[in-house]
Amino acid sequence: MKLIDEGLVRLDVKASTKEEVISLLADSLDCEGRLEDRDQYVLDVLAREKEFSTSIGFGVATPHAKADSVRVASLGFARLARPLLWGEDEVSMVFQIAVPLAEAGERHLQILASISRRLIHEDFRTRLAAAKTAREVLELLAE
Amino acid sequence: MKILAVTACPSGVAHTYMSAEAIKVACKKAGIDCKVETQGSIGIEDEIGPDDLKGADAVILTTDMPIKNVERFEGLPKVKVRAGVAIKQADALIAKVSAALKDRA
Repeated sequence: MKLIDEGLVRLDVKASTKEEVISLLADSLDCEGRLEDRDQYVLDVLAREKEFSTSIGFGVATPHAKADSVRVASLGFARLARPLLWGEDEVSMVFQIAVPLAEAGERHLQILASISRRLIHEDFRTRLAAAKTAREVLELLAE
Repeated sequence: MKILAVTACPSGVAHTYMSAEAIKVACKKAGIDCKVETQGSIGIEDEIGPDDLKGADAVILTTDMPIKNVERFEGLPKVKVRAGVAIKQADALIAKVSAALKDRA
């Protein structure tokens, strides 16, 4: 199973709170059988958020959980129709990460590390913001 | 000027790498030599060795998780910062470190 596929990319998401976005992406992950326990996963992500908001600035947030509630290492992406307040920052793009506690396959983690690094670069974010379809987003992430 | 950094975070999948990259980009912009080691879920990468330590002026360490092998930085000025802050305010962080180093010199 790939880290991310078309079913995990949601564009033009209408949400007004970060909890809504996190739940929505959890539903997408769950729908593809990537979670062991959807509700627990949401709690795990929110617990991480409570420790420290995962807004990284530049309009991007990366909520994540590495927990037993996850079956397959996965990445969900949501682009919001309207920016919302995520902690202290406005956020319009969300990368939601799910990693099983005992992740054996390093490949997924390497991809996540590489995407995390690329998010720091403005050019990558601009292209993500401009992508018109889920397929385009996937192509960008696969570069 | 040469700055070293080591980054880590609790899950080791996102902030470790974002903060490493942010520090690298900010140093490059400021024309400062740097090497950043990541201690994440895929292990230690870009490990800072004895050769890298030569001529280094300071080391930035993220504070979200204990950093492994900090003994090697003994005697080097240390700047401790949360990974999230290193990501969001990398330029300001590097400017502050470089100003402090200039003051010392």
